[in-house]
Amino acid sequence: MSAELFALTPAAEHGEIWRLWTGHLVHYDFRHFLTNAIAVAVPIALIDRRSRRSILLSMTLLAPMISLALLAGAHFDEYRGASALALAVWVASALTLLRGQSASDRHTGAALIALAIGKLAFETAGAGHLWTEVAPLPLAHIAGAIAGVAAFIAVIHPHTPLPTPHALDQTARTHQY
Amino acid sequence: MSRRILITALLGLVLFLGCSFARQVHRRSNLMSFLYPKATEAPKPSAQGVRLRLPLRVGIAFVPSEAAYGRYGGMDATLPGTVEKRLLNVVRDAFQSRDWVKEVVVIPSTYLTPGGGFASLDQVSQMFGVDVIALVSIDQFQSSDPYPLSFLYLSIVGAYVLPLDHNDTRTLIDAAVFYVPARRFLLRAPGQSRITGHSTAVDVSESMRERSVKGLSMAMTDLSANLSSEADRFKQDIISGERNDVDVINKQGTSIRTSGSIGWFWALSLLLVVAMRRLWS
Repeated sequence: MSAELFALTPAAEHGEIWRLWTGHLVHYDFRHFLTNAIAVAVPIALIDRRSRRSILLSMTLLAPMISLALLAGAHFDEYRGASALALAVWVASALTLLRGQSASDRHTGAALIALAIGKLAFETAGAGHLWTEVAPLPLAHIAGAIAGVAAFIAVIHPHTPLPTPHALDQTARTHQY
Repeated sequence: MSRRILITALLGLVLFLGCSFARQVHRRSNLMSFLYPKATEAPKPSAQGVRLRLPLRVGIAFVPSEAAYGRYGGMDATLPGTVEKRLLNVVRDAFQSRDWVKEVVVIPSTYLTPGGGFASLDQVSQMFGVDVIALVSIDQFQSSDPYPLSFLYLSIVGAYVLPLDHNDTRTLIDAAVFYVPARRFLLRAPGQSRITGHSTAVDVSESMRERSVKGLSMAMTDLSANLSSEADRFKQDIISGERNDVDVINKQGTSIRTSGSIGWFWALSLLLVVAMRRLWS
């Protein structure tokens, strides 16, 4: 079965609506798939099971919204790749970790946020084509990051407990020693 | 005795004058001998990928042949500059309206040095302000063979009025498109034609010249159609990733092969965060 049938193209606006989802799943080659798979798997593996399920479920709704944003805001013949979803998962996971109980969670969350901001700044400055085989679409990653924030606020945030004073105190003492 | 010799001589003269001979013309220009005159020193294409920015200014030129054989393989078989331009205009007109083409520039083959290779292409590329050049090479074979009835040319008048020579013109044209700065081959397309006909003995040369130009013109039309199909296929190959050495940036500044691509650097950075998390905990 040809991947061209599943890539995101302007045909999605003319009846082929499955492309709004599947465009994020098909890739140009294995390396393209592998880097995106790492970017999805690593952040999602760092958070608790309940948040993980919430993030993945929210992606089924956010994926077509990202696709529609791309079709409206960018001019391309074809788009493939899960990196917009990866940014969404990345940012949502980072925000979840920032509200975590332990210091290592919060440090990890901060590091992920810093990396995401670095990547977006790098691409917005026009250097996004470095270290990739396929030209990235900066708008896709910005839309993904916004989707990640939205997923966190709407789905994950209400269920994620804030760090307790005890946990913060433990962290402070750990740092003293 | 002398009368018999005289009659034999006269008969021989009439037969000689009345005979029609088979003729052949072969026009040929070789792309490989132009680009790589010394095969052992053929320059390698740049390892860096090609980024084509649309709309393109594309140059098109006939490949010059070796000087010793004339422009197209025979001193009496060269094409005049006006004919050359008219033939290239067939391709130019076919592509001028395409949205990815800004302009198709016809480059006279006299501007290219025979056997000049990419150095010659570099000069022309800078002179005409084009990065992409289509090089058109020709292989045309013409033959003219008299029919068995051509003995009627014996009447002399028959050589002027009886079309007893069979002409055959076979043309094969090949266009290879290169991105000159990176010495990168992009795509190719063929065009071909065949014309057969008859002519009188005295019109053979003129008839073959006319059919040569007509054959080339028909082959150029065929080439234009094939080149158009190949350009579409080339674009699909870029989009699908089969030609990952080439990227095309559209008028809006976006790659036609856009993707959600994280890239190795950022993927490895994420793995580094996981390693750091172990330290933090």
